This record gives sequence, C-alpha cells and structure tokens, in this order.
Amino acid sequence: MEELRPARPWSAHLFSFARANTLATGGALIAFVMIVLAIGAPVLAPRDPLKLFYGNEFLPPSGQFLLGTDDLGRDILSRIIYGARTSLYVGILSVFFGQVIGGLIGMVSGYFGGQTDTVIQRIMDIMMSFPTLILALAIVAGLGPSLENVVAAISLTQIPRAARVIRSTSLSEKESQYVDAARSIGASHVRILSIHILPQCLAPLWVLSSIALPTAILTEASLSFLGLGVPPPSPTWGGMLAGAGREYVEQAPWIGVFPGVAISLAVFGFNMLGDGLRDLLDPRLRGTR
Amino acid sequence: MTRYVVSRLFSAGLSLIGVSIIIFVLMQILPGDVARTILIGTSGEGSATPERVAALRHELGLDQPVHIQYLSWLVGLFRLDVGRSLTTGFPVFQEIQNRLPLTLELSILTVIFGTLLSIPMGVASAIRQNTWIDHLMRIISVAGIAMPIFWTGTLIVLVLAVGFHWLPPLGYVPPWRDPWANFQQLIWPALALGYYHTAVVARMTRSQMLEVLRQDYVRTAWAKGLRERVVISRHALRNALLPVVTLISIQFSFSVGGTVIMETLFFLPGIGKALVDAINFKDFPMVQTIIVLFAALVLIINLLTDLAYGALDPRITFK
Repeated sequence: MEELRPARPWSAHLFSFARANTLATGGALIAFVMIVLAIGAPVLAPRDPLKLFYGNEFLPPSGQFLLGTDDLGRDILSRIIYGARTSLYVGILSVFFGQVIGGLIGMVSGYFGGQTDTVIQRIMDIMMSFPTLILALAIVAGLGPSLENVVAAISLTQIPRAARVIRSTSLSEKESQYVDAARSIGASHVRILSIHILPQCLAPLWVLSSIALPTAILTEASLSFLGLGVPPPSPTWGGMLAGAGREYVEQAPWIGVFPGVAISLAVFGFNMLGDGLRDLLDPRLRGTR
Repeated sequence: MTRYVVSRLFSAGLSLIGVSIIIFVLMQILPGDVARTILIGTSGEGSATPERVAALRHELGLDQPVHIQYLSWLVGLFRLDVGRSLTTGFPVFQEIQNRLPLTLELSILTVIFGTLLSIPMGVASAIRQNTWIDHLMRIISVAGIAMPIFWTGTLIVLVLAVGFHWLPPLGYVPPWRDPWANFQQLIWPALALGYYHTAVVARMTRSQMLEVLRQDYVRTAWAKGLRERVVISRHALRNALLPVVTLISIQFSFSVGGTVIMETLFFLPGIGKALVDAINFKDFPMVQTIIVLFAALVLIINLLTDLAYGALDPRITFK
C-alpha cells in the first residue's frame, strides 16, 4: 500500500490546482486581500482616513501619500482601505440576511404549496419587477440613509431571487422518498423541513450567495455614489467617486480612478471566486464554461 | 395566441397594482412629518406652528385615513394628476413629461448599442473559440461586468477631457431640435451603460452559441456543405438567441436603474436624476410616481419580451 501513495507534498497539489483554475484562484486571492484589508483596516491603513492634512490637497501619488490626496487633503489609500471595510461589511451582511430570509421564505413556500405559495410567489414577482437599484433606492428613501438601512435595503433586493431558487429546490425535495418515509412515520413539518429539506438547500444557497455578493457590493457603491448610501464622513468607494472624483477628474484623476479600481477589483475577485465555487459545487456545470 | 396576450396583460396589471401598494407603504414609513419639513424649508428658516402644520396636512390630504390616501393617489395615476411636486410646485406629471424623453432616449440608445455590439461579439467569440479573438472578447466581457457604470462613465469623461480636451455639453437638447448636440450629450452615457450591457449579453450569447453549435442539426448543416455564414445565421443563431432575448429584457430593467446613475454623473435632467433629487428633498409625490413609472416601464418591457418570445418560439403559445 505504501508504494501507491504519491510522494508529492501537499503544496504541489495546491499549485497544480491553482494552475488548473487560474481565474478562480486569482479571484480568491483578490477576495482574500480585500477581506484582510477590511478586517485589518485600523492596522493596515497608513493614516487616519478622516484626517484633513491641510496644505496637502490634490497631491498626486507619491512616496508620502501612496495614492495621493483628495480635495480636502485626506489620504486616498487609507480611505480606500476603510472603504473596503464598509463595502464588505454591507455586502456580506446583506447577502447573509437576504439569502437566509429569502431561502426560508422559499423553502416554506415550496413545501406547503397551495394558496400561501401562490400569494408569496406573487409578492416575490412584484419585488423582482423593480430594477435592483430602484428598489434599494426606494427603501433607503423610505427609511433614511444609514448603515443599517442600506444593509436592510440591499437584503430586501436579494430576497425574491433567493426565495425563487430555494422554492424550486424545496418543491423537488418534497417529493423525494426519504421525505415520504419520514412523513409516513409521523414526522412533523418542522422536523421534515429542518432535518431533511434544509440541508439540500444549502448548496444552492452557497452558489446564490457567491453571485449575490458582487452584486451587493456594486449596489452599495451605486447607492453611495448617488449620496444615498452610508452617510459621510464614512469613507465609501462610491462616495469617493461622486463628489471630488467627478469634479476634478481632469486635474486630479487619481481621486476618482483609484476607488473605481478598488470596486472593480472587488467585484471581479468575488465574481471569479463565485465562478470557481460554482464549478466545484456543481460538477454538471463544469463543461459549459 | 390571444389568450396568452390577455393573460400576460392581466398579470402585468396586477403586478403594477402590487408595485404601487409597496411603494405607497414605503413612503408612509418615511420618518418625520412631511408637512413640517415643507414648512421649515430647505434653509430651515420657515415657521412650523401646529396650526400651519395642520392646515398644510389638510391641504395635502395627509390627515385622511391611509387607504383613502392610497386610493386617491391610485386614481390620480390613471387620471395623470397626482398633485404637485413638493419642491418645484409644478404638477408631478408635468415634471415627468419634461424629463421622460431624455430617459427614454438614453435607455433605448443603451439597449441598441449594447445589443448591436454584444451579439456579434458573442457569436465571433463562439465560432472562433479559444483563439485570440475569443480571449480578447472574454477579457472585455469580464472587465465590463466588474466595472461599476459610474466608473466607466468617469473614465470616458477622463479620456475625453485629458485626451481630447473636450467635455460633453451640459443640459439636454431634444433630437428633433438639434440632433448633433443631442448625440454629443447622450452618446457617452449610452456607451458607458451600453458597455455593461454588452459585457453581460456577449457572455450569454457566447455560451448559447457554443451549446447550439454542438447540436446535431448544426452538424447536419455542416455535413450538407453549407457555407459558414449560412450555417450560423440560418440555423445556429436563431436558436441561440432565444434566451438572449430574455436576457436583453432583464438588462433593460438594469439599464433603467442605470439611467439614474448616468444622469447624475453627466448632469442630464432626466427622470433618474429627478428621482434622486426628490429622494434627497423628501418630495414623496415625485418619488412615488417616478418609481411606479419605472416599474411600469420594466413590466411593459417584460410583457413585450414575453410576447416576442411567444412569437419567436411557437412551442410557448401552445402550452
């Protein structure tokens, strides 16, 4: 038996996996860097993102301010690092709530069927007929711009899609033999839902979440760009692109360009990570890239 | 076919009612008293005595029960009279009428650009899979999906300003009055939005084409000795494009939301910008009506897509 075990160290396996899935690994690395930046912002950011360095406005990238300064003399690099914190915090939280609540609604709706199902699906369809940004705008308009309300708004935009997908999973699992068996020995609905149906919904939820996170990050950035996201002075990538980024794009392009790069990298990274996760979790899709 | 159309129309109408209810409820949750906010004014100098607040509430109809308010708003929507904007004082529908052509033109331009660019891109990518064309197209697609549209727009302005020392003229001129100025104003936001549209649709077109090209009937066409152009256009493309049609309508829904961002970025006085301004000033008659309008636009597009789908694929209407 000893001769059959390969002599390669685990790192070689890792590298060959990485080479075979370059895009996904690249995405995972970018996503990892973003997460590290977000968590370690107080330690990693060279300066206070809110501090105004008088006399140092509009400085191009240099050794002192690695990504330059904005119109108020704030260090752009630090603001971008703290912006990662906002974007990822809002993104991950809203995806969590949106998928969990949407998944629960879909699971219950599909399992019980009948009138409740029809009514719930109607409501979900109506919510989906709004463009995501418009729906988020409407909710922030109703509740007022704050961190919690932005998370609530983006979560609400994710609920209909999650409910739809999990509902179809629930519908198909409802008919399977082990559920029949459980029902026949008198298992309660709660038991069947939580022990039998719920585990089957987890994989689709992961896949959905991987698609939802980049969208959530983009929606948060769009809301901040419009001035209806997390309120200032919190640094947000979208907000950095809005005021001074747009106004001084000719004279000081770095103010607007770098936040945009950050958003694009984050969305790209999480998108690629999600693609890779999907390929791993759903082998049937592997051939269609 | 008629039954299909009627049932779709009915369902769209119900959805629109549902949309109006949701929006109305959302606006009711608005914190703070609207009447007080108006009286105090944006500069904070007005006086908001209880008598004046009560009088204004009565004038605006805010003291009536909620369902009465909702019904009178709904009826107003049908009569095209939902009261006046709280910021400008002009009738809401007049404001919308002034701004709607711009937003519509922008959305249509976006979808046209997006579709015209993306479908050839996707097809080229599929029929020359794994060549440099394919790789280039895929990079353009992936980049386009990741880049936020307001950044693409900013980059376009940057390139124009720094490279050509030219900025698009502000404001809006309708195309029938001065088509060249109108073109100069709208081409850039349409390109920025259209780029995202292109990226998503090209990706889908490519994967659809790849799937269709592996089908047996395409093999038969090749075996018959038909030229590549005929195989692609007559046999492969038509089947590949069906899901793409659905995607284009989904993308229209996105581009409706995108016009909000583009109009804010390029200072275009359209409905999108009006919505953002109305939200900032808590002008809830405007906010409600504009959002219902957006939802109605999306529902109409979905309806038209469903109908087009039914026309393109006869299997659907015979269900």
